Amino acid sequence: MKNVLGNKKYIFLLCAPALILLTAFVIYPLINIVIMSFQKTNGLTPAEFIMFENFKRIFQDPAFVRANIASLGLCILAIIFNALLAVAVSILLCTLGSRIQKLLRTAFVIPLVLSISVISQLWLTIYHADWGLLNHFLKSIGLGFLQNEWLINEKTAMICIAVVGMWWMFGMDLLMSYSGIKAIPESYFEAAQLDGAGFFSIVRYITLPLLKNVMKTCVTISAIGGLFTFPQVFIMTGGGPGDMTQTVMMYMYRQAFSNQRYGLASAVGLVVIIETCVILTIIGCIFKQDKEY
Amino acid sequence: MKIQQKWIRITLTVIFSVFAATSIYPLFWMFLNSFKDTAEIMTGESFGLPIVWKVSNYTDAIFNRHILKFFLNSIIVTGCTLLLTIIVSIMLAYALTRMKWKLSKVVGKIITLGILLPSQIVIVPIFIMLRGLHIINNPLSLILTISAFNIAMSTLMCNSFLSGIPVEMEEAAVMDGAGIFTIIFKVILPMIKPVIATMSINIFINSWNEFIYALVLTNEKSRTLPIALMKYASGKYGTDYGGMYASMVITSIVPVLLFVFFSNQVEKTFSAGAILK
Repeated sequence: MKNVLGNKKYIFLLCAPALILLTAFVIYPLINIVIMSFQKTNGLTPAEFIMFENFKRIFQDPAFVRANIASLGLCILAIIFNALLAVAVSILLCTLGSRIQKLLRTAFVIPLVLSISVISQLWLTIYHADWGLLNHFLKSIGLGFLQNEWLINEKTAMICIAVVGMWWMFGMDLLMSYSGIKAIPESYFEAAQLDGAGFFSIVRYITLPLLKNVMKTCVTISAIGGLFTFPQVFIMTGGGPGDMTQTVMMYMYRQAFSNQRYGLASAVGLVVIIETCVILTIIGCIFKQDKEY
Repeated sequence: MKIQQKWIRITLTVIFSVFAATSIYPLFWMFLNSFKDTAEIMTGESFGLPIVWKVSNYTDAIFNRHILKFFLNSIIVTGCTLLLTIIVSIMLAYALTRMKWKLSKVVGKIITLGILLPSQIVIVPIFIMLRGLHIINNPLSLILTISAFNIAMSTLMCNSFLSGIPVEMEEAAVMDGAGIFTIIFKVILPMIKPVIATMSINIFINSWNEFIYALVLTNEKSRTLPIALMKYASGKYGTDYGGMYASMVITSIVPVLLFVFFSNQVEKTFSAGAILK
């Protein structure tokens, strides 16, 4: 047994394919993004090192700052309306009958398996000013005065983009927290109910503390999903009106593939990586502090 | 845990049903619109069944707009990604959980860290690298990229399943003089079928729906469905919305069928995200 499982040649053979792929497509690009962010390069002519010039330029660009704020906003919205709402919904869902649970779960999960490309195209037409579903719906329930050119109006465009992502990803958080709740032994709840605990104290003292790890995962996934919003913007508005709905990913894509400023785009990428790390650390801290009291 | 008061339960059911309807109705609307004439769609009478069921939206998409070609591209990319990722990550997971080597802990940690970083962040260096290798616009570039980004998650899923399996079977196999590949593909593989199913669904959905890499790494010929869809709306003869909805339904049909037939597996796959902790 030992000379099979300890065999260096075997270990090498088993790991090599996966590690080569990971190195070539994850680690090497990550190193490269750091190097390129200090360069001025269009990918064809030899690159020249310009040190912090790229960073200086992006932080002086109001479009980048606005894109950054937009992405952080989407991130916060996703945490609230995906992660936290999903936890609340799944707690309440578990109090209902099992058939309705299955039915509602299915309804929330179906958007999840569809391509974001389909989803964005669909919502593009839902928001359509002349014949979109939303405006038609508002008219038919007598709220015609709320009709709007949703994606063209500067005030509503960003919210509309946010709604699409949240609508798409809600099922993911719901499923995670739902299966987290189902993993809690039923006897805990029964014991608490025998002791006369009400619904809210059960949620407060049993469900939520036991669900903390799952909640952390939900929050993490939603936060990252929100921060990296791209296809919706690309398909639905292309960043417009003006730069209103531009997210950091959209900004990076434009700099790289429309303007051929690969160095600048890498600098944006590096900034976003650092932001992600900061956000993950904050989330980690929040969920750790809770544990100690 | 059940709430005793009946009226609360009824109110909750109603609220959630409305909530769920907003989640499902747009898709139903898309399905109905795929049978409508573009002119009918644009009258704005959005509710209700099509006046004339226009199946030609579908036949047109298939025969005149070559949607099948893109469908085939998607199948090729997804199929190859699936095979490559599963084989490679089972091998890695086996080496990580069963075999004894110094760096196994470190490699495991790196994989866990890498899982949190979205793939799109490194699109610029990957694009430049693949362009340098002249395999851009080739399905191979897409297959390798998507595979690489799915390895981490698949390996972790496989890891946690493998560590729950007793080693006796493998010991017996070693006694009989089996080599490492016989052990993995003849002994282990049949035992980890459940987790292979979960991994496959995860990889399938990720690669079928891949957007940003498919956008950058494909051209007219090698385009996959989600990207082909985007160009559909802006046709030569004005926007053909009926046809667009039809091709959206065609794009969605495979994942939806997957969900219909394996709904429990799909749900398990998505909640497996909790593996991250």
